[in-house]
Amino acid sequence: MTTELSLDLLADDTRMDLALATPIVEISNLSLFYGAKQALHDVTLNIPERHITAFIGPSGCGKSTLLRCLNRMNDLIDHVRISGRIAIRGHDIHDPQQDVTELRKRVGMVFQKSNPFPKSIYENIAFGPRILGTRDRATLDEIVERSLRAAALWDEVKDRLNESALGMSGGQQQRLCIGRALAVEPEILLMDEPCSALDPIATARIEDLMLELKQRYTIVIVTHNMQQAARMSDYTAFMYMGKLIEVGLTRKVFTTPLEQQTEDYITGRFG
Amino acid sequence: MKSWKPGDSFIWLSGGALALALLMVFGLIALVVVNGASFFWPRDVEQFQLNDGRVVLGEITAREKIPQPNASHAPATHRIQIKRGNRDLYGTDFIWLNETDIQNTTAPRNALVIERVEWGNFYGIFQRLEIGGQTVSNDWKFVRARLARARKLTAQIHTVSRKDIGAINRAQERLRRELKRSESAELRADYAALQAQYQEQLATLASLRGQLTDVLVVSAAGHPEVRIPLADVVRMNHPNAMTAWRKCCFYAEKLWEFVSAEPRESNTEGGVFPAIYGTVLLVLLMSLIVTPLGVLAALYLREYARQGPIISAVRIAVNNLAGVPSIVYGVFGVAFFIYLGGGTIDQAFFSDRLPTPTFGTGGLLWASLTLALLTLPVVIVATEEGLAAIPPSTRAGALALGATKFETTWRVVLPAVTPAVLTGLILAMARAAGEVAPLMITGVVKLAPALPLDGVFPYLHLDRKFMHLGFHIYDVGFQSPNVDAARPMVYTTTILLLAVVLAFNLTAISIRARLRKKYSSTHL
Amino acid sequence: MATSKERSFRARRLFLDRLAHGVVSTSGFLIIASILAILFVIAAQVLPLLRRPTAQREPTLSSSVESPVLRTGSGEYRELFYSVTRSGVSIHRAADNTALPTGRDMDWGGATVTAVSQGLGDTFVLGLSDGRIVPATVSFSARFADGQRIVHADRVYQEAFREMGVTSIAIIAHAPTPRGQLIAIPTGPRSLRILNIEETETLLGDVSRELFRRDVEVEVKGAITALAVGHHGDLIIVGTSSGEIAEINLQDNDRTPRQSPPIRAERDARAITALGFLLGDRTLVVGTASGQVSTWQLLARDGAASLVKMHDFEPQRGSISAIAASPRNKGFVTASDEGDLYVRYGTTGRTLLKRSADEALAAVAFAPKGDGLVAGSPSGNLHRWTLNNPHPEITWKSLFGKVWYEGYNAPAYVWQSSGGTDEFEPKFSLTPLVFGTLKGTFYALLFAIPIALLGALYASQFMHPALKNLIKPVVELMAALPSVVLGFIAGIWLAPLMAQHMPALLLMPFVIAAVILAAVWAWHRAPVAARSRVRAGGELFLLAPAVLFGGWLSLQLGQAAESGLLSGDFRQWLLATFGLTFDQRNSMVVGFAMGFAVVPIIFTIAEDALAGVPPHLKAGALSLGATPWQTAVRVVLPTASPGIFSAIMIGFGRAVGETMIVLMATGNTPIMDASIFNGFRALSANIAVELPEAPEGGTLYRVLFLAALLLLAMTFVANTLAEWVRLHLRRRYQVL
Repeated sequence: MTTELSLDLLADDTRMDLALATPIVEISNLSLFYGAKQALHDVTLNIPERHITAFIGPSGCGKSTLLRCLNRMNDLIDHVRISGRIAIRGHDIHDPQQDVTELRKRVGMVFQKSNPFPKSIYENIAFGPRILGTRDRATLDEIVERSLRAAALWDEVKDRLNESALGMSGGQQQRLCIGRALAVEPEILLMDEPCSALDPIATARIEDLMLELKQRYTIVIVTHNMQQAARMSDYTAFMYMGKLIEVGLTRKVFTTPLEQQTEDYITGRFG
Repeated sequence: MKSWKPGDSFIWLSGGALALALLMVFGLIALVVVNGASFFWPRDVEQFQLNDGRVVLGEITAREKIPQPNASHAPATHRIQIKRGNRDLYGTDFIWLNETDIQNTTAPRNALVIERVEWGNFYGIFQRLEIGGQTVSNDWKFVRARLARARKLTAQIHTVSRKDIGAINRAQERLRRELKRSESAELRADYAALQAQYQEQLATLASLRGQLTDVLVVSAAGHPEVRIPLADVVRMNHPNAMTAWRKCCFYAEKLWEFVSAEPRESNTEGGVFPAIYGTVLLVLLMSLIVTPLGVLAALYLREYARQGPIISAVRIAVNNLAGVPSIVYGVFGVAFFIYLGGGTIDQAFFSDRLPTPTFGTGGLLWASLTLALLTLPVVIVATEEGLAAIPPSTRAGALALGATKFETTWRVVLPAVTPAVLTGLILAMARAAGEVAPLMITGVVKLAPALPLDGVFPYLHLDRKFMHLGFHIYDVGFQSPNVDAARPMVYTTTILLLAVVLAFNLTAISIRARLRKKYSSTHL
Repeated sequence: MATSKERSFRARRLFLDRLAHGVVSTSGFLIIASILAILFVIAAQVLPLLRRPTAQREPTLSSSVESPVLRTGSGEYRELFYSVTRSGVSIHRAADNTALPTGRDMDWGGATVTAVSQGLGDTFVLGLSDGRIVPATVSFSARFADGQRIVHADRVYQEAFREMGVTSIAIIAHAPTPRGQLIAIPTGPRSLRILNIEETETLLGDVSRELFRRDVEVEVKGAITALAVGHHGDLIIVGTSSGEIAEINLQDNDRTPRQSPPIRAERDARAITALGFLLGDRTLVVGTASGQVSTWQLLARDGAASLVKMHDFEPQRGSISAIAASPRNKGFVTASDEGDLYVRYGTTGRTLLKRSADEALAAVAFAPKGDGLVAGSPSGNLHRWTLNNPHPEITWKSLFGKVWYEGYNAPAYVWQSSGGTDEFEPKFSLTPLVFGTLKGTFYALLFAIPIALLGALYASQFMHPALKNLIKPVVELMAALPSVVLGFIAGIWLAPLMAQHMPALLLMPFVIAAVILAAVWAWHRAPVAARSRVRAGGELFLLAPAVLFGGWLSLQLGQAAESGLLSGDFRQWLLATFGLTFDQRNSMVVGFAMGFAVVPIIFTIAEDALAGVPPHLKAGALSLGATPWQTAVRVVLPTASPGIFSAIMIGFGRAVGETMIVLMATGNTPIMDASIFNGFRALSANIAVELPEAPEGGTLYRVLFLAALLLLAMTFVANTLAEWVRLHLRRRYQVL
């Protein structure tokens, strides 16, 4: 508690550096192979708690792959081999004792394409709590309301909770997916290009939501949209060809990049 | 331990269901193959000395626990089923023996198995050979030589009585019908000449039969002297004295007989050649009919008809027809082809034979038309899929060069769709080869007097009834008076049918796999 | 400018193109139309079943006929008719409305015919006004001369004989018995004389007749007004002026005849005016003075036989004056003194046809082929109709409802299409067949659905894709196995085996499941090193031995259970405990065999649907911390449920129409019994067995077509539903 209080007194930069020094996720020497093809090369990166970290880079640079490593979604793909270590709050997530479902509960994810289940809005939110064993209706009602409020969707849908989620607009669907992820109370929220399929207004709403959410959650976002990364994130990691080129405070990365490649990408010389 | 999740056991259970299904398939195929393939292997003939003094000679065919109601604690006893043959002497081919009743079992090297034209197998001991009532020889080599001679003579008799006399009979029948219409001396003379030829052939037959005076004298339990004319013997051997090589030869010989010979003893012995012939001919005729019809219909649906709700509905209906029970097609065939089509043909062309129907009854033509209709949806659907897979750009390319629609279809679309048509056709053939129910009411018979395609004008007899492997299985397995004796034969027939159907299917699957690869690689 | 050669070339190309367009369109359209016409061709064969019968009036014969007509009848091709009048039998030619010369008339010394009893085959017994009795016959013969058929009829009177105490005869009844004939005459208002004439042929070919005579007093109210002899001379039915009927049993020749208590035929007591028996001599038809008509049967109930009413028919105007039974089926015709003629059918209780002769009728008869009617009037007219009544026994109710057949104690669903005698009445209830079809389908699906769906779920969600590519063709091969092979294996190999190991089979699903669970448990106890060598989805190879072991174990347990708990014999135990009989070829065998045929169909379609669930939905569920099983059951399965429904529908369609398996693996007995240990007869197998024997256009033929139409309808509905749902699903997947 005291640390947090004192943080406010510090200069912005210092506070952020400090946050980086006490990360929630530590990735060290992570390499990932799809069969013979190496997709991640020796990535070492820390992700600070309750901040937004953006992964940027050209298509195929491995930023989504890296993101999916954090909740082990890559396990679903065949012939994937991983070396190195990822620790969340100091625990190695590849520990054989680690229950992968438990991990995914702690590390929520929002996908590029909104993927509501073909069920009602209520059931979509309640899905997570239900599979984790919550059966009590009142508790579920409470979770649904809380999650929808957190996803800034409550006022829009509170009267039609039992309608199909597929009837919502694209932006609403995506916020529903965020709400659904929040319903299981994760610590970290992974967002894989969450706005790429949305119009600017819907995008703006989600961005507002993210700024709100970072008060309580650690957010990692993969984005193609440079402005979005610059606007939203506190930290930015630039990746290229499976390698982490540069990571740091967003402001610094965008204004005074250390690497030539980063500058080239940010200024739009390739990408 | 964290990795134990309740869902895991369900995953395994569902996997168990799949494993069960696969085990059933392989189990069934293995069952058929083991039962069918072992049938021709010469088994040892054993002699059982029973406690009551009786002696039984034969092959062991089965062993089972004796059902004992209300005696659950008695030690389990078994009984064995012996094929002892000699149906003419004992009335039945098979006998059950309690194992406790058997004193001892030996395998006499001189035990003789004779396969006969009638009455099934004979199991016994060779005594001597008589020719014209005189004992000539006990020399086994000589007996074998005489058997070869007898087989040759019977073959000759068969040729004369079936082919030569048959031809004369047909010519006479034709003359008789002509005479009915108009009396003429010329025809009369022809008729008389034929009659003379007929007498001549009869004389030939008599002289051939006269040469068959060899009689095999053998003994069986309770019957010291059984006389078997050598002409009635198909083959004979001492299985207990056979070397492995001889057994292999015997096996090959039997196998050849099975696929090439005609059935004997109400289909329970001999071969299934007419059934193979009938099946193949049926499937070929069906393919000839179904291919053009299916391709035309698919071309119409996909290339020529205006796409809209009606065509979509038609497409659903065609898909549905693939699921209509085959017996319904058979019923349709009976009403439409046989009674309507066949009846009309009979009225128009064969009115002199009425009321005996020619085409107005089940026959090869109607059966193959029915099957063609039955498999039409398969071909249409496959062809349509193939047409849909050809990218529109291919057609556009040809049209852009100034080709007409017909030329595009003929030179570009059709060649591209050929493999798909082939896949559909092969699937259709597999289905046709295995289908029995509609055939039962449209023209298949248990025993056809003549092949539907032979050397007699007009060569292909579309009106004839025919035999079929699938129906053969049903008939011999279920309608035969001697099911025990017929069963191994049915298993063997089943192998044959399975082999045909599975070969068709595997071909279709592999063509389709290659097609998919081709399309997916060109369009990526 | 194109040269003429080029022009003609182009013209040819265009012509070819147009030709091809025409040919493909026309023939394609025709082909599709003709396969869709299947429905109509089959329906066209069924339609005549439901058509009402028709009758066409033919010219009335009058000029040669004396009045009044007491009885009438017709020759086989309805060229000749006869009438029985006061002076005896006379023959009439329809073509020119003249009487044929019939040889010398009998001299009955001025006596006239006052009563006639008419039997089958144009045999009569005439009662004369002076009390004498004359048996007579009319016989028809035909010869061909110059390609023309010339029909001739002869009447033969036997010698008249007189009975003591009989002075005049107003009513007479007779019937042939196995050894001669039986004649009954009332000798008073409540007394009957029964004459049993036994004929024996001597060695020389002469016929010697012996006559046994019995007098019976009948205990009824009123006077005897009608008589009928039935059951081939074993009983006499008496009808009275008070509306009662009573049965007199003659079965025991030596004892005095026993009479049953009289029964009021109708609630209002009007006189019984006509009695008759239908073909087969079992069903009694009763007609009253007020035009009511009913059929009755002698049924053994509670140990005693009594007359039981089966059907009340539509009443007629006037009083029923004559009843004639059809010589072909259980139909009959009743005539009234108001001139109405009603054609009815005994088994169904239906009145098929009503005609009027516009004058009172006293006699009626069917033509021998059942294709004509002739009715005689007191005024000396013979009214004639041609009758077209090919399927009188068919109604919706007789096809699908319970029908009270002759000789049955209660209405029942019966399919029995052929019998030993000409008098046999075919029974065409499709209900037991539909029941059989649905029963077989039910057990097949009971077996197939769990295996196919679980298997599909496993293959689509948990199995390694490489392995799946290997498994799917195997399942396709399973679908290609000819059903005749499955039926053969089921009937010849499986049925006896299952009969031997019934308890084991009943245990098997549970034992195999338990063994698999045990295997899972053991697997999770196994060292991690060993486990990590098997990839996810490779469980299948471990499972096969587990399943085999489970099968073996249940065999052992089954044997132990049978000898230990069921006193060694399952069948006896089943019969003793549940009263269930056991057929070797039973529904369980069919369930297995047909299930085997259905599994690959359901598997393939369900697997396609499950595998088609968009992967991002699965990813969504997994990212929320759902286990793979939770994902499969809570997200994938509900999403693909329409596809699974359509898979089951298609499987249903296949099982409904399957023919060879049910033909070979069941006993084909058309019974209605839901027990899994009994067989059944399915619509499809019934068609396959009976169609080759059914004469074209006959009732059986058409009923079999109706069975085919039912099958077609069932599968078409199931398939269309499945197809529609599948299209719907495809659209849904595109949205997701």
